[in-house]
Amino acid sequence: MAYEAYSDEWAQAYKDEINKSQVYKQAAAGWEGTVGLVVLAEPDKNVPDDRGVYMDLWHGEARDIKVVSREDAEKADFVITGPYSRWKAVAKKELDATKGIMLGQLKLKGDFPTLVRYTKASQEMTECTTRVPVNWPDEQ
Amino acid sequence: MPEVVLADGDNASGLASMMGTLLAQNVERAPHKFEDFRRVESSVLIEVTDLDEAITLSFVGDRCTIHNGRRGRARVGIRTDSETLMLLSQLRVGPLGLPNYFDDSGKQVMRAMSRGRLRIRGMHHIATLNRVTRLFSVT
Repeated sequence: MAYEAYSDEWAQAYKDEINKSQVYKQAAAGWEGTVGLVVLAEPDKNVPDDRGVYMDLWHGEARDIKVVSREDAEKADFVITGPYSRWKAVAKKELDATKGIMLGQLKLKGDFPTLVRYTKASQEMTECTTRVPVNWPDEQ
Repeated sequence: MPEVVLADGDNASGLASMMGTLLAQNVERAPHKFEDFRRVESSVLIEVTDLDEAITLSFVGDRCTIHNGRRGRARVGIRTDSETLMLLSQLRVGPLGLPNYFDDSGKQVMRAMSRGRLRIRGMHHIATLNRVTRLFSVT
């Protein structure tokens, strides 16, 4: 079953996928902090408004993942911002999130040294995204 | 107080922006790194092969200016891929302030070097190389 991109059901499936991952549990064992993903609107791709995803991550567990407004996502400790098509590329494994940041295609706000320490955890989070089947708004 | 400046301002590349933020935050949270920062006193080139991006870090006194691309003749040149660049930042600094090449991250860096994924020019400037490694180490 595929989920509508950035819907509540998608967020729940993503959370379940993270919590199933032993790799993530181990790699993020010491992680404490919230992460916000800001998905910038691309009206020509059927994404008329900015969206946000708020992730409460704690010691290798996703305690909560929910779809929120852009403003609420920006309240997280770490915020990664990019246009819809970039996030779709990340979810389809066409773009590595770290490379996206290095190329300036995704913008990161927060404490970089902490994120670098948890590179493996963030890679596994991306892997988890790719395991959640999605109906993309520009493919409907 | 050391200062990190992006020479290209709003036009700074993603790599320049990321490495600049990493350097500034790393030094800010670990004031004992100030001395390393001040004593680099040279330029370091970082080339990321899979992104086709390069930056030059020019350390002069309390200031590091990060330029997009190559600028001048760098004392040390690091040519690697994005994954190994992240690994370099995870190198632990061991006794005597030397990078530890015997733990997991260190071994991966050594493997990258033996496989040609990491090339360092100017390795004989070992003091500069160790200082830069310490400055970017997040451990």
